[in-house]
Amino acid sequence: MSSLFYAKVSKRYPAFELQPFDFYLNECDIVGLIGANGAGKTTFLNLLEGRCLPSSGEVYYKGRVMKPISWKKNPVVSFYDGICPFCEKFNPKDICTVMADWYPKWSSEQYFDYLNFLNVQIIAIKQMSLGTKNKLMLATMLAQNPEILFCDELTTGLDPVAREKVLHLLKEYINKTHSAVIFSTHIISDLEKFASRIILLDNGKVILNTDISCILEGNKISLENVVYDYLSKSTLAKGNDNLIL
Amino acid sequence: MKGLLYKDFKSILKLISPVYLMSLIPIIVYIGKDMFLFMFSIIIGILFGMQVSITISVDEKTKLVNYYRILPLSYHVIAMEKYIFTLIISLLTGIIIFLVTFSYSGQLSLLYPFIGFYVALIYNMIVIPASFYFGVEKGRYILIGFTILPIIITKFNNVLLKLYSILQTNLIALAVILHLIIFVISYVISVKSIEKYRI
Repeated sequence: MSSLFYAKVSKRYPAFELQPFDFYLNECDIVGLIGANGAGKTTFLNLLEGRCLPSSGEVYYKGRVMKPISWKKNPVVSFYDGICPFCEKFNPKDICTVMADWYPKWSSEQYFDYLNFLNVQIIAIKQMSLGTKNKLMLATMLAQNPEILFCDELTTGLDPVAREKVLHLLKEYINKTHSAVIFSTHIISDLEKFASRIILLDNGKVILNTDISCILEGNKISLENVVYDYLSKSTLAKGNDNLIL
Repeated sequence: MKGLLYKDFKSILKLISPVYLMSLIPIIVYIGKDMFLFMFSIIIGILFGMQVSITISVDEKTKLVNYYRILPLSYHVIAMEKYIFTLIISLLTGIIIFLVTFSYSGQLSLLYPFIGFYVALIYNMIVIPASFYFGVEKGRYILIGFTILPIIITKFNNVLLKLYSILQTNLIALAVILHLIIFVISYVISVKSIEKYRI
């Protein structure tokens, strides 16, 4: 329970169940969340953020139970779910004015530095590409000076150079502030370079939760092959079940 | 609160569309007639009042409503901002109507500005909780339901006239109390509806 963030939760929907899982984040952790489409990655992140209530279990921050209302009083988490929640005629300056009022630790200076570093121009959101919107939202997240970041497919729509830049910025922030991040992605090579831990989800179940160094140690194959191996075994098992049924 | 007000003002300023010119058509029809100032006040009151539901609609469209649970703002602040925004919009409506009334008739009348102010205010007392509870699209049906109210009231003319003769000494005080009750009910429904927003 000495982790920065700890959760032991589950979620049941009529058509889908995210089975109970143990999750922790220590300072400077960079955790990659992967899984096939519909595996439950977004539900996993929504549960941790407090955006949806767990069917069972609790979420802890520095050993204290956190209800969704607690994050409102103590905004140490920052989140991105692939959506820019502002009027599409707003520009980054408008967003800065709004966020400066909402987040007590907001730094406008840092925000414009991040935008500059990520080559985000001061134009309307409507005119931005998907990748630029993602970069804008990363700058918005980091300028809140959070202790924990939850990112859902942050690198989607980014070209390889921009992806490298975004992940480097994220890593630098984590190391500098001793914060932690969990991000979902479909690009496994990103995890190999930047993440310290990997969580693999399949059909609402955590099938792998381990340090990347442990996986790669002694294995001559890449992380990508290891993940494929796990997923194919799981799919094969499901296929067998179906055959028996 | 300031951030929310800034967001809403900026949104409606950026979403002003030439379609609003359509509202001038019924106003033009009444120019020169006795009913002009009355119709002008009603139309401008509704047009300005509608801007609040437009901001809720923008929040829905941009999915900001999905963030209500995790934004560092209490549910009360999120709801109260819409009512403060309504008050500002209603005052603005009153000022505009006052200026038009003065230019049109040369009189410093407060009746028409009050009508515009009141229409914008009462419109939103119904629309805000309905939009938060049902969503902006479905919330409009509730407003249609309220248009039946005057028809129902006319069925009870005799009772209302009797009530009026009993209450007329304290009519203003009663009106204030009644509106405060409407505000409290509207506000409580809005806060409870916002609390329920979740994925």
